[in-house]
Amino acid sequence: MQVSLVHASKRFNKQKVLKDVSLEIGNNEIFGLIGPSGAGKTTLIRLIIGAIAADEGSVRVGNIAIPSLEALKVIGYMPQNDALYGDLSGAENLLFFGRMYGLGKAELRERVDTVLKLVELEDDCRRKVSEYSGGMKKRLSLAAAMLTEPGLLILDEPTVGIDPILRRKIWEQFRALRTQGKTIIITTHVMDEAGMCDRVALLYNGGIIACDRTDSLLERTKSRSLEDLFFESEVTGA
Amino acid sequence: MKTFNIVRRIAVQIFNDKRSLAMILIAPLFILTLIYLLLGNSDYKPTVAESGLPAQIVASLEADGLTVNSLPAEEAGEKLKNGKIDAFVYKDGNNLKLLFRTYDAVKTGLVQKSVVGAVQGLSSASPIDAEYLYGSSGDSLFDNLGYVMLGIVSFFIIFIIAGISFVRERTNQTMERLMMTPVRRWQVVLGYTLGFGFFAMLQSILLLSYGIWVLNMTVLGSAVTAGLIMLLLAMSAVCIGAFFSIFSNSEFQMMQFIPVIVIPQIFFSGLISLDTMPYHLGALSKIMPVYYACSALKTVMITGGGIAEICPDIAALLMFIVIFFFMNILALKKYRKL
Repeated sequence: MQVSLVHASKRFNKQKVLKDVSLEIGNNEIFGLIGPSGAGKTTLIRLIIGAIAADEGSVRVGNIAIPSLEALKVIGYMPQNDALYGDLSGAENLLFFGRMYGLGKAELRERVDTVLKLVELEDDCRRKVSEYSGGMKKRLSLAAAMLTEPGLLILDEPTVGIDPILRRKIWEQFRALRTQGKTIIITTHVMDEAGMCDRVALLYNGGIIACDRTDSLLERTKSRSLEDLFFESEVTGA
Repeated sequence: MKTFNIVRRIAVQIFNDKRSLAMILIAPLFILTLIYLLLGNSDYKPTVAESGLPAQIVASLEADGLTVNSLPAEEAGEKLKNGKIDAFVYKDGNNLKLLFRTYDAVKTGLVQKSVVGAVQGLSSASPIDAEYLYGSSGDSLFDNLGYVMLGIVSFFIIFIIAGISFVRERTNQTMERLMMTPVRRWQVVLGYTLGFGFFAMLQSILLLSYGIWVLNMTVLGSAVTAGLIMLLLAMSAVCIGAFFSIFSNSEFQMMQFIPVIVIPQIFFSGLISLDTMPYHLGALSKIMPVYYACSALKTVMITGGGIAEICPDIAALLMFIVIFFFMNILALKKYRKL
């Protein structure tokens, strides 16, 4: 599912938090958004999802102009916080979100079983989420985002608090989704994770200061690693 | 379907959260019982003064446990004013007069009961007139004001639970996630209103049944109509609670609305006569849902009125629900433009 932003800007209280952002993200792509805190990553994500509307420019997901209720049917979203109902069990949380997307009973059951298996929570799915560890909540939140097999998956810091072995398995799943033609947008502070993305955009102060394949980006900026590039952008602002 | 899904989720959540369930169902019974005990009868034995009463009546009053002092009218009046005695009983022509300092459900009731009992034993029964130095007469306070408590308790608890629940949805970001699904804003608000409305209905049925059958609360009209009024009040509490949660960033901040939103409504619920309020403050009651609910409950429970008499109150409650329902739909724009 293609995502395109054309000269998109957003202001909050007269302060421009996104400045003239243009971006094309294609099918079969895992796209990373990196940048220091306050750079505008979350605002950019909220713009793509349609939680907020651009003051200038345009945003499209596939052929749909954003904001649109129609687009939300094909977008899976995982917020930075776990955003789960602690009083419900893991399975009840997934069933609830699945029903909000209008999934049928049999399909929903099947999808819930699949994503629970993927995040290795099958044995704990009957427990209340309030009893889960931080990592388990993160996994369930990820499962909720992947529940509907969305064409576009937007994940805000998806693997923070998840152990390396499971993280590797989740990344294998991301790659599998990519081969199915899905688009995945990930914000991350974990640089080795950003390195696994097909392309990354470096945001600073509301604007994209670099956007390319990871290796090309490093070559072009003469940085040794993404971490160096990230650090340099924070120090120099460019 | 999506609305029903939200209703079902709220039901499962509340059934899983035993404390909230107890808060909705058990806490009102506890508060109502406490009020019943506070305003109900006690084993208090009054002290009275008498002047010119037949010895037979005095003996009967003493036999009933009352302390009876024979005093001249002037001295008795002074003692009554100072609260040293509960009543002054005297003969005025053929009539028997009871003079109280003020109306007090317990003391007034006990003295009247004893005097009526004493007079009934006489061959020539005298008419009995009750007068008050201050205030007016009535039944027990619980009989008179129980309906007010029903309204206040119900509104208070639903307002807090619905408000805090919304605050939690926002702080946990579950509201953000919910709004990122293809659900319409009105479906979310309706789901919440009906979800909490279901528990409000359970609460209304339980509270009224307990009041009527366990605490012998007076209901001259239809208990079903009284239940309907309470349900509408509780629904307005859901909508108002959800609305004010927008201005709270934590559960504690939601609690801070109690003195602002809940307590003033107690004073305008009928507990204090609106006509006697200074500076026309009684007019403020017109913007308070508890006033309309208590006014309707009074009509149904105390004067035995029906739906026709309470139509304006019902209309006002519906208006509160509709206004805050739409304001909540608008408020959700904060999460999603559409």
